[in-house]
Amino acid sequence: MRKVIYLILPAFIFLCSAFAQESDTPFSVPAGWPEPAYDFSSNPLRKPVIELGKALFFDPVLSRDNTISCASCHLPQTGFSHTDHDLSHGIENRIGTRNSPALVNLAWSRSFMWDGAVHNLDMQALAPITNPDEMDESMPKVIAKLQALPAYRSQFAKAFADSQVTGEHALKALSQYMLTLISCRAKYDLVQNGEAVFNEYEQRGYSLFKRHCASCHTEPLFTNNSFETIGLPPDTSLHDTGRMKITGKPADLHKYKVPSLRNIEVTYPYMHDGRFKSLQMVLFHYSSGIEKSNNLPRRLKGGLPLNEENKRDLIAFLKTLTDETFLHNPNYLPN
Amino acid sequence: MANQASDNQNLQIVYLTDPAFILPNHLKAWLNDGIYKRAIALIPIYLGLVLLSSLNAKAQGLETVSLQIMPVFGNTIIKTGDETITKVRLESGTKDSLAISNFRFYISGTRLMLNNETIWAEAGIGSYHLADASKPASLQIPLNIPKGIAYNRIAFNLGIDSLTNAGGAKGGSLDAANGMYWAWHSGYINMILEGSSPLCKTRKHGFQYHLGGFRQGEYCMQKIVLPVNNKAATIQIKADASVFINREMLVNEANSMTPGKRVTELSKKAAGMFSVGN
Repeated sequence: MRKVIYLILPAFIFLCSAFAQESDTPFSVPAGWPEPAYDFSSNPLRKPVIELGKALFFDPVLSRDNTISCASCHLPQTGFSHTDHDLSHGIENRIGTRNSPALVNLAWSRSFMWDGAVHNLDMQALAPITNPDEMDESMPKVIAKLQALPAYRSQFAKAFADSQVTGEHALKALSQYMLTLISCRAKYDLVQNGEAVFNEYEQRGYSLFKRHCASCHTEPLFTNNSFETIGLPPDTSLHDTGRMKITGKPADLHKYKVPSLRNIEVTYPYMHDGRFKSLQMVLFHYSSGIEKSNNLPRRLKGGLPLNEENKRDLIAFLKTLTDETFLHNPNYLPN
Repeated sequence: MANQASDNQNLQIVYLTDPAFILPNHLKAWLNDGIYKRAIALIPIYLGLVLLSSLNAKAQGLETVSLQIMPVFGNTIIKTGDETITKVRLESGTKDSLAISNFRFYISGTRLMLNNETIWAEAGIGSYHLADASKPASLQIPLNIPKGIAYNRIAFNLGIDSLTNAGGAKGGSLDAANGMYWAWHSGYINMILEGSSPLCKTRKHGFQYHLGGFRQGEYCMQKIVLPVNNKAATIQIKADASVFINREMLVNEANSMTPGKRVTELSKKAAGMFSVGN
């Protein structure tokens, strides 16, 4: 009898696995891009899982008083950032300490949050869900709420073979939706693929960008995933030590993650605390506002040598990173 | 037997779940053509697994040895729960007291050893156990070992290894919904001990020790090796919180919840809590 089970069991699992592949959504790496950092073998993309992740992303059920969803501070139309808010607000009008970052090309990120507190995309959602200034909820309660909703029970059943509503499944589903947020069709990309050409301002801006900015905002992702300080005078009201909070190293004081510049035109205000409302203000900082510190990168000492014409050209280039197909992708919106 | 079968399931899932991501490019395109072609490609793996399974079936019989985790404070068994706390004297003969409201920790990578040689090791996702003083069932860990093997030591880890920490979301006892995961500095919490004592100068006289950390400089999973003298069907493992907590900690260090040097030191201290009780 046992032998029969040993013959049947692998066959059964084998057939299940073969059919489970049917609705796979292959993840493709845009031409010329590096291999993603995310381990897809631990969470292969599948349509029903992505759909579940999308539903969770837009659902305030994740917050303690059912008022705030992920999308509250990460709106698709503004590059999954919170336009016009320097610091984002959570439930009961509580204000956090950081600007909500744009969510883009997360499959290539090796760490998450402005200070790199989170090392794996799957675990990222736990931070806003449990932060008292954001959703102020606990995972056991989120799971209990989801288990009580028949619509979610059936969506989890469609998405996962064991049909269970668990923390693991909710986190993996959120990851899958976020992994689909790929911006790779901006004018910049079309130019790289030979489908468009820069105008003269954009072209001069691109040259300036490569000389002054690209060592940290490295193409094609426009970030090198490192942590840097750029001489911003600390906001004394926030007591934010940046990366040092995570590593405990004084050399990491006031360092923050180098953000991607994709869709930068629409993700204002800028910096970890949203202190600059416009790209003009950002470039004024780089040319004239840098405050010295021991851990300031050498190339920023003395400021970047940019005149007004240079800044205009740089901004013209930065606007070629706006990807309308990304900002208005109907697949990103709830059904 | 059931345990080995489930290990085989894990093995299959590793191979069969989305081959598109683990195979070279020229195979990817072919495999993406359709499920039938994919199914054909997977036949050799399937046949291999049938062979493996039949070999397993022929394997020697198993017996179950139960690890019985006993959370204690000195001679008092610790029980916690929504409305349950365990009150104890800090040291007998003194008036200093404390109440324990929460005591749970991960036991992983259990192995049986003969002197310095590992004879048997628990592996796979099912080898991570969350022992929780509020859940009696979580304190019984059955080990399915081959019949008649000789061993004189048991070894296990207090906490979660860095490889598992570095990976993505996991289920079962490793589900982040178990509350043993740090959201603000991601990583598993290896051990939680919470309660209150009049000695603590904190809000509501509470104490909270959350031990964890897996990055360089904060790695604090502890490897514990204990002698096993008699070969009973149950191995009692005492986890004596009185070895970990002392007066000075309650007075001066009632909260310790940040990965780093101090929590690493406290984790070494926590490793001393364990002993074989029978």
